[in-house]
Amino acid sequence: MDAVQISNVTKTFGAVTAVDDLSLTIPQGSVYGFIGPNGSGKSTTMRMIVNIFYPDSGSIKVFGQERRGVGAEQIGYLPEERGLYRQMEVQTLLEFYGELRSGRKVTAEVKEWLRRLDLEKWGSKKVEALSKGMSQKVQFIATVVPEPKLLILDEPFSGLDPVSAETIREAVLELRRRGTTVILSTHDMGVAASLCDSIFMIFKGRKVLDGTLASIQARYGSDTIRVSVAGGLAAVQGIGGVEQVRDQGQFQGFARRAGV
Amino acid sequence: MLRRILLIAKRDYVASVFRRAFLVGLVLAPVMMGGTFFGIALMREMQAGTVQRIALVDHTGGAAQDIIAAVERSRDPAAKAAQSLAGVTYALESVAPNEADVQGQRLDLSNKVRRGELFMFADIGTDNKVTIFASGGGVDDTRVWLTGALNTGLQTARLRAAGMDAAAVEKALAPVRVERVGLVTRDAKGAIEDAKPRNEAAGFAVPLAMMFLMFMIVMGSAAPMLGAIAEDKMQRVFEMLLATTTPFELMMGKVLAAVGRSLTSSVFYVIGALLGLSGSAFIGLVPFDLLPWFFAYVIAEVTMLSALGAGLGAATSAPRDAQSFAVLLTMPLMVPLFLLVPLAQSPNGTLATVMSLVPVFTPMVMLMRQAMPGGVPAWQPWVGLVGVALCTWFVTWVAGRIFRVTILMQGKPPRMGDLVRWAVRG
Repeated sequence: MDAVQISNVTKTFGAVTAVDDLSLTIPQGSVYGFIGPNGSGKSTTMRMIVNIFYPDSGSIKVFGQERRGVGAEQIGYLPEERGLYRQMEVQTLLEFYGELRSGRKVTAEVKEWLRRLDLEKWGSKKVEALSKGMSQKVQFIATVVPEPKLLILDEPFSGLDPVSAETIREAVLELRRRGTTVILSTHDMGVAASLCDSIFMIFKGRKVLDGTLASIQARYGSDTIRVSVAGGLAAVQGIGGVEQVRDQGQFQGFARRAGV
Repeated sequence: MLRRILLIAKRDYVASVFRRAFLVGLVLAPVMMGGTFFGIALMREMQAGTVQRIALVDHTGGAAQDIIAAVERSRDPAAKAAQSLAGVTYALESVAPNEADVQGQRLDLSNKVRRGELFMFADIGTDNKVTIFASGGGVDDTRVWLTGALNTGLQTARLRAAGMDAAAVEKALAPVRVERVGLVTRDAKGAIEDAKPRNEAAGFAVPLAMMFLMFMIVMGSAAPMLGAIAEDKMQRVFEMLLATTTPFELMMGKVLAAVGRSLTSSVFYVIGALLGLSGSAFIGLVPFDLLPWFFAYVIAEVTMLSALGAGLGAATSAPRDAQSFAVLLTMPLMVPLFLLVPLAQSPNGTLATVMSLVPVFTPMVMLMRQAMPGGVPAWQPWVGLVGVALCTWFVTWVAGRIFRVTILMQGKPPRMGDLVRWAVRG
């Protein structure tokens, strides 16, 4: 059974078509990357999977069921626009979110995740006392407690410092090892390449491509050589077999023709 | 569904009730109201025994003594009431007129008023005209009762001048004493009970107190919803919640928390009032039979207005924008207060009856009418309550639709047309 099955889904807001006849299948246990520029339809697709928005047409099934029939405890969702009740204590807030989703007390799990993300000393502090990075880690914990079967992360690394980003990345990979299906959106191809098994690219609401990373690389990949040349861009242009040259400041990138 | 609503309600209730602003407001409101009454009582106590001198410049040659005698006999109930209310004794004294320099004498007496040696002075003319000279402006009860005393005294002087028996005429012209009582009733054993005298002040004070109490509680519980939703929206806390709950559950959780806040305030004030009045004669004025109605109306009004506040708050992007809708929330509370006088003067008149059956006004107006002596026909509160329940359901449904559409919306403040469109289309 697939984790998510999206069939011919369209969603419009007034005159704007945010998602246009989208079909996509996300297998269980995978890390699936949603890639696309701002406004391309990534967040809208995620919100429809989570049931915040309803599709105008088409259907979305999660673990084989219509989305409305899936219990809230099975899905964890980290929205792109993050916010927490600033006056609440961290531990109390996380227990509130956890209990809201699962219907049971989650004190132990919250403590364990606070320890794992190095926030255990902050449990009794108010959210307003946290730094931005710590707030994002707290929000991540709120998303994964109790452990969901499907984790949806909208731009999980945006605004995070490299250390915090690495901590979240490791946590995502650990959840995946335990069988959680992860969907994450990102602008960063590097993140997608290092973390995702499969990639779905969307542009102006329409699917551009999707598939496993390996299959996409085989289909669309090109070899790139980075060189520093004393003569700069002009020295590289005109060399035989060079198909494309791009000036990137410290180095010039150029793509070669296949077989050269 | 209910579990999630209750959990959201619990979080909101705890977060708001244990805030300093709520606790301070809870205590401060009755302290301020009680402080006003205490201040009046204290002022009266401090003024007790104070003598205010009023000079009478009598150009008629004899009326002043009759006026002073009239006041001393305290024949004028208004004079008695006014003196008692202020806690002050007014002493009238006759001043011989200076016919050679009338204006000069008036200036001297005016300066005495300015220095506080006199409270005021009256110039009694021979042309059947009395001029009262006093400092300051505004409404002064003293002039009202003094006018009665002046009339009585001058009439006595004229009767004497006409050679008539002033006492006999006075007795013949004595004003009738009008007493207002309730209606004659039959007791449980079938015997006819005499009508009881009405305490008009209490008859007005109790409904007024209940209206103000409801106003205070509803304003403190439902009105903040508008800004609170807009504030939470600005802090982006809703999207994560909406992944777990439906917008309706989220809104109802918040509405339930507002109802909880209002009941907390109600219980606090009612118990406080009962404790404050216990042992005093005023405890008999407490309309215990109306307390269930009071709580039912509070719950209905808070549910209706906080749901409306949630819907409107969700439609705005910032607390600043939300303020433009505040009038919609306060109108059901403010209109009955603006019309308080005509409503109280005729609690069973057409205006009061119709308003009390208009659901948005029912809680305030029907409660006021029920608390009035004489009450209302038995069917009216029930019809009013059914109307309020239906209206509450409808407003909550409409607010829920607006809330669902707008809760994640950002951008320009909505117009009234947008709200209607969202309410209709969902």
